[in-house]
Amino acid sequence: MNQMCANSGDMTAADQQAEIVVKLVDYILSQHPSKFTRDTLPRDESLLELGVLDSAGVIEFIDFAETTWGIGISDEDITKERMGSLNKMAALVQHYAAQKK
Amino acid sequence: MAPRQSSFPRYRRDVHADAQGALAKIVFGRNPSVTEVLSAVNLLDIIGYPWIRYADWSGDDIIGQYLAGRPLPYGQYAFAVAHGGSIRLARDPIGCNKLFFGLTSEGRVVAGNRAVQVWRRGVPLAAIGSCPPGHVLEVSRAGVRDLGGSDVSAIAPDSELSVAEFAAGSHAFLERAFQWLASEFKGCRFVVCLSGGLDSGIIASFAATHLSNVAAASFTYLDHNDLQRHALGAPVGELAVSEDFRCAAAVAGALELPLLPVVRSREAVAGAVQTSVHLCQDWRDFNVHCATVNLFLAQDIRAAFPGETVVVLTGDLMNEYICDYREERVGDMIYYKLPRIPMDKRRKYFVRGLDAGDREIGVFSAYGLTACQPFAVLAEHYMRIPAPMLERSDLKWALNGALLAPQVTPHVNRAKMRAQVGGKDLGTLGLYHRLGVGEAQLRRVWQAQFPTERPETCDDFIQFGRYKAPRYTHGE
Repeated sequence: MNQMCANSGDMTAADQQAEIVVKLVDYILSQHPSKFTRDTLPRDESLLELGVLDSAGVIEFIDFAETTWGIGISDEDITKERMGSLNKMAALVQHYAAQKK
Repeated sequence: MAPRQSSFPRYRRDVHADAQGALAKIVFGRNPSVTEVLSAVNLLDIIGYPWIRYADWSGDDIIGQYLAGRPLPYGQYAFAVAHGGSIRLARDPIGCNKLFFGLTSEGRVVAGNRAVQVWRRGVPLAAIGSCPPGHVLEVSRAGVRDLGGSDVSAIAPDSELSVAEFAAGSHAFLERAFQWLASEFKGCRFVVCLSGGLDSGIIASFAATHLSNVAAASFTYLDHNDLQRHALGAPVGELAVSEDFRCAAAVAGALELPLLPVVRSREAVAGAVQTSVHLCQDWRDFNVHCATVNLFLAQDIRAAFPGETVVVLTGDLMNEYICDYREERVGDMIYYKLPRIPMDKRRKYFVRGLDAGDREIGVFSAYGLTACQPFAVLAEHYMRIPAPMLERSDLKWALNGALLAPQVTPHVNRAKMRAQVGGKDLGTLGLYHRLGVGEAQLRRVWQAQFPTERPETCDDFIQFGRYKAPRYTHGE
C-alpha cells in the first residue's frame, strides 16, 4: 500500500492495477497452492470456478485485499461481476484505494 | 460502488433503556396481519399477479416510516407493496425471509419468497434478483432503485461493552420479543425445536415463561429395531436415541413441556436430499444438512397438530452472532471449512451470509408452519460485541448462560453446535458423507429445478455467500 501510494503520482492507472494484480497473484500462489504458476494463473477467470479458491478461501482473499490496501469493500460490491477474477478484483481495489485519497 | 453509511441509530450502552426503543421497532410492524410479516407464506399466495397487490397496510407503514428516517424494524419479514406504477420491496435487516423478484419479457414484475416460483412465472433465472437484507427497493419497468438500507455487518463494535450489561440487555430484548409474540400469536400453538444445546434451550426457557400452548420437538435417528419398537409404543427413553435427543428431552422435562419425538431411520436421509435442497434454496452442504433435520421436524410437527396455526420457534442465528462455528472432520474430509481470518471479520461474513439459504423459514413454511427465529431481534445487539470479547472460548455461556431457566442449565449439552452434527457418527452430516452426497451432487439437484437454464447461470445465483442482488440505482 505504502509503496503504491508513494509512487502513485508517477504511475498510470494501468500501472497501478498491474501492481495490484502482482500482489494478488503473490498472495494466491503462497496461500492457496494449485497447479497454476505466476505465468499461468488466469487473470480473467473465476478462481472459485477454477478450484483455486474454495468459499472460505474467497473470504480470506477479500480479507487480504482489505487489509493490504486498508479498504473496506461494501457488501454491494462483493459480487462475481465486480470481483470474479484477478483483474476485476484489482480494478475494485484500485477504485476503493482512489476513494481513500 | 461507494461504501454506504449505516442508517442504524447510534447505539446506547444503557441497553435497558434501549430495550424500549427495541420494543418500538418490533411492535412497529404490529397490525391485524402481522403474522404475514413474520411468515413466508403470504407472498407465495400473491405471486403471479401482474402487479403485486399486498393489502397489508403494515408494509406501507414500515416503508413509509423508513423513508421518513426511521430504521427498518427488527424481526423477520419480506414483502412487496404496490406504489403507483411500481412495487416497493423491503426485507428484514439480516435477511431471514427471502425475497426474489424480476421482470418477465412482457414487463410484469413478479416477486416471491422462492426463486423457483418467480422463475416458473416467466422470469429467466439470470434476471431474478434478491432484495438485499435491510433494504427497500423500488421496482418498475424503468428499473430497480435502492431507496436505502443498512448492512448489519457494518455496525461498529462497542469496545466498552461489559459481559454483564450485555447479558442484561439480551434478556430485555428477548423479554420484549416474547411478550410481543404472546400478544400477536395469542391462541396459536407454539412448538420449540430443541437440539439439546444452549441456543434452543434459551428459546424454550422464554417460551415456557411467556407463551401458552407450548410443546417441544426434537429429532433423533433410530435403528430399525428401535423404529419398530417406537411404532409399537415403546417409550422413547428406552430406545437408543442420540445424546442430543436425551438432552433435549431433559430440557423439555425441566420446563414441563410436552415433547414430540421426531424419529427417522438413517436411510431416510437419502430420500430427503432433493426436498432439502429445493426448500432451503441452497446447494451448500451446511445449509442442506440443517434443512434435512428441519424437514423431518416440519413433517412431524405438521402431522402432530393438523389444522392448528402453529408457530415454530428455533434457536437459529446465535452461532452466527457469537461466531462459534467449527469445522467438522469426517474421515479425510473437512466439512464446513472456516476462513482463517480474525473472529470479528469472520462474524461479519457469517451474519452477511444469512442472506442466502432458507433452511428454517423456507422449510417450515412449506408445511404451513410459521417459523420464528426470536434471536433475529438481537442482531444489532450482538454485532456490538468487540473483537477481543469474541475470541473468548467461553463467550456464549458467559453471555447467554443466564438466559436459561435455572432448572434447564444442568441438562444442556454444552458441546452442541449444529443441529445436523451430533454423536459419534456425526448425525446428518455423517450420513450425507456415507451416502457420498457432496456439494457437487447437491448443486446438480439445485440446477435440475431450472431445466432450461445453463448450469453456470444456476451456480451464479449464490455469489460469495449471498443471493445475487439486482443491478440498481440509488436514491429516491
